[in-house]
Amino acid sequence: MVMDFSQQIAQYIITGLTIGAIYAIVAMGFNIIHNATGIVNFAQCEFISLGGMFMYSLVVLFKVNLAVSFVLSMVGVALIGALIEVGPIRHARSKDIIILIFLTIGISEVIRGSAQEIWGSDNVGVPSFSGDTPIHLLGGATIVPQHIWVFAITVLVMLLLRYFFKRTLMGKAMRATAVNRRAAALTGICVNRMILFSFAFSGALGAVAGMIIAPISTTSYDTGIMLGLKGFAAAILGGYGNFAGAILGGIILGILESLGAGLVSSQYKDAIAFFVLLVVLFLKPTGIMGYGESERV
Amino acid sequence: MNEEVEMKKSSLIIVTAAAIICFMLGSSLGYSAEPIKIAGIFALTGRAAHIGTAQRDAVMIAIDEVNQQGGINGRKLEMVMEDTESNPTKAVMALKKVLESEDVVAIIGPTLTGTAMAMRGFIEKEKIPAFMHSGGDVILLAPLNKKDPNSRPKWTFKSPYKAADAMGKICQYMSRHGIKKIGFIYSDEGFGKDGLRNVKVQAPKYRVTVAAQEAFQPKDVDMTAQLTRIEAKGVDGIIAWTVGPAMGIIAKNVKQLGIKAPLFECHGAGDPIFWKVAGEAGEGVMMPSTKIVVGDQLPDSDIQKKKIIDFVNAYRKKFNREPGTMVAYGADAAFIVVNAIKKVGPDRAKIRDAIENTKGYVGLSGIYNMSPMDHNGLSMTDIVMIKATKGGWKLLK
Repeated sequence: MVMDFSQQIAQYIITGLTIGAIYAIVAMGFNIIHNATGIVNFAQCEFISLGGMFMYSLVVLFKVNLAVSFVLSMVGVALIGALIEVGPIRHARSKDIIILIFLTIGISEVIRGSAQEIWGSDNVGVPSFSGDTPIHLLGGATIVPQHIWVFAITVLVMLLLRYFFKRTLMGKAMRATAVNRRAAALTGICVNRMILFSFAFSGALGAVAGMIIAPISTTSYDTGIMLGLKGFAAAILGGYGNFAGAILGGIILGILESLGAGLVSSQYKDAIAFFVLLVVLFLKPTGIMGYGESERV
Repeated sequence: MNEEVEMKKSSLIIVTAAAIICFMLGSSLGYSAEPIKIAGIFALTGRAAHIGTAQRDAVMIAIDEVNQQGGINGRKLEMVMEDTESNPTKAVMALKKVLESEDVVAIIGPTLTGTAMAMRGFIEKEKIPAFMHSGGDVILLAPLNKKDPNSRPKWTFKSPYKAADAMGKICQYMSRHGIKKIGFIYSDEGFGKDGLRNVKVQAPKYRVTVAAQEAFQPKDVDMTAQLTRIEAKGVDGIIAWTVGPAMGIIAKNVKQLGIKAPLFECHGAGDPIFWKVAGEAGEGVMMPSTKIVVGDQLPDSDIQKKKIIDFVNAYRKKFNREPGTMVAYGADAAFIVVNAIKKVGPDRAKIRDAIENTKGYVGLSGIYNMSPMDHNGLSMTDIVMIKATKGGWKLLK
C-alpha cells in the first residue's frame, strides 16, 4: 500500500495532534503553578517521568489493573507535587521568584537522580491501554487505539479543569489567588492551601501526560525532560498562564513538528517548530492568546 | 563536668584518627604491589545507559577473571570508572579527569560514537591506547587533521563490527531475498550519520537502491511522519539505524502504519532492551548481530561456540540477566587489552603495539586480525543475521 499525498498529510496531522495533545497537558501543568505562584516549575518535567515510571512499576512489575494503576500513579505524583510545595518551596528563606525557580531546578535534579537509582536508566515499555491493532481512518491515515486514548483523556482533562476553575468554589478561589494574592487572602481564602493544591494538580497533570504517552514512546527516568521543554515552549507560544493558549500552543507545536518532518525535512523539524515560536514571540511577546503588558526580563 | 566533656572529645578524636590510620594501612597492605590501572569510560547514564552498563559488566567479568588468576605479574588489575552521561562534552571532561588524577595504562570505552569522536583527539595527543565500544567507523576513518586526509588515529581501536560490514551484511541479505528498493531512517547524531554514509556505499554493491532517507532526533517519541514519507516511495525494505528507545518506537510505528516492507535494524539492536522498548511490535524485525545472543543455535563446528557459551553462563551467573549483542564488544575489548598488558607489561606504547599486532584472537564477536591499517580486525563473515522471535532471537541462514 503506497500512500498518496492527501493520505500523507492526514497522517502528519493525526500524529501532530497526538503529540500536541501531550504538549498541551504539560503546558497546563506549567500554567497552573505559574498562576498560583508566579514561578516556572521545572520539576514539571519530573512529574511526567514519574507518572510513566509509576505506571510501569504498577502495571508491569506488580501486575495491578490498568485503571487502578492510572489513578494510583496520578495520586502518587500529585502527592509528590504537594510535598515539594509543603517542603522546599514553602520553607525557602527567600520568596524571590528567581530563587524559587532555581529551587525547582534543584528539586528536579534530586527527583531525577533518585528515579534513576530506583528504576535504573533503561527505557521500558508500558502496555497500550487497549491493544495495538491499527485503526484505518477516513482519508487513509492510520492510528493505534492509544492515540484515541491520548485525545480522549486530554479532552476530558481539559473539560474537568474548565469545570473546576469556572464552576467550583475552590477553582474560583484558586483563580482569585492567581489574580491578587493579598486581596484573596483578605477575602478569607487560605492562600497557602491554594498554592498547595496547584502543585498537587500540576503533579497529577504531569503524571497523566507521562502515562498516556508511555505506551507510544516507552518511558524512562528522564523521559520528561524533552516533553517538559516542549510543553514549556507550547505554554509560551500560547501565552504563559493562559489555559486556552496552552491547548492551542501545544497543538500548533505538535502539528508544526509533524508537518515540518513530513513535508520539509525530518532533520530540521525541531528547528522549524522553534523558528515559528521565535517569530510569534517577536511579533507578539505575550504569546498567541496572551494579554496584558509583557514584562521584559 | 566540663573537663569530662573535653576528655570525651579528645579521646573521640584519637579513636577517629586511629581508625583512619588503620584504614589507610589496611588498604595499602592488602596487596604486595601497586595495582595496574585501566580507565573504563562508559555511558552509564543518559540515552545509551543500557549499552554502557552492560559493557561495563562485561569488562568487569574480564578483570575479575584476570585477578582470580593472580593478576598480572602479581599486580592486581583495577578499573577506574567514569560516566560519559551519553554526552560528548561530559565524556571529554571524564577523560581529562581520569588522566589527570590516575596513572592509567589504557582506556576501555566509550560507548557512543559521538562521545568517541569527542575524546579521540585528546587520546591521540596523550598517546594512550583506547579500545572503544562505539559502532561508528568514523572513529577510525575520519582524518585527525582535516588538512591531511592520511592522518589516521594511531592509538584508537574499536571492538564492534565496522558499521560498513554490518550494513553490507544487511544489504547482502536483502539482495538474496529479492529486496531491491529500500528506505533508510537514522538518528540525527554520530552513529546514525555514519550509517547514512555506509548505506550509500554498501547498497549499490548489492544492487539495492536507497529510495528514501529520513532523520529523527534521538529523543523523538514518534517517527510516523518519517516512515510515512518512506512508505510513499513504495519501498520493499526499511533499515533503521539507531540504538535506544527509538529502535522500539520505529518498530511500533511500522506496525501502526501497516507497512508490509520488512524492517531491519542495526548491529546494536540484538539486546534484551529491544524487547522492552518494542514489545510485541518487535516480532520479525531482523538485524546483524554477534553470535553471543544465538550461542546455542550455532553448529558445533563453530570455533567461537564454546567460548560464547562459557561467557554467557558466567554473565548470567554474575548478573542474573541475559547478555545482549553489545556485551560481546565490551568483553572483547577488555580481553584484548588485558592480553596485551600481560604480554608487554604496563607501558602505554608497548600495549598499543601489542594490540595492533593481535592476530587470530578468537573473541565473542569474531576473529580479530588487527593491523596498522585495520584497528578493528573483524570482517563481514564474523557477523550473523538474526530475527526477533517470541522475545528471543533466531539465527537466520
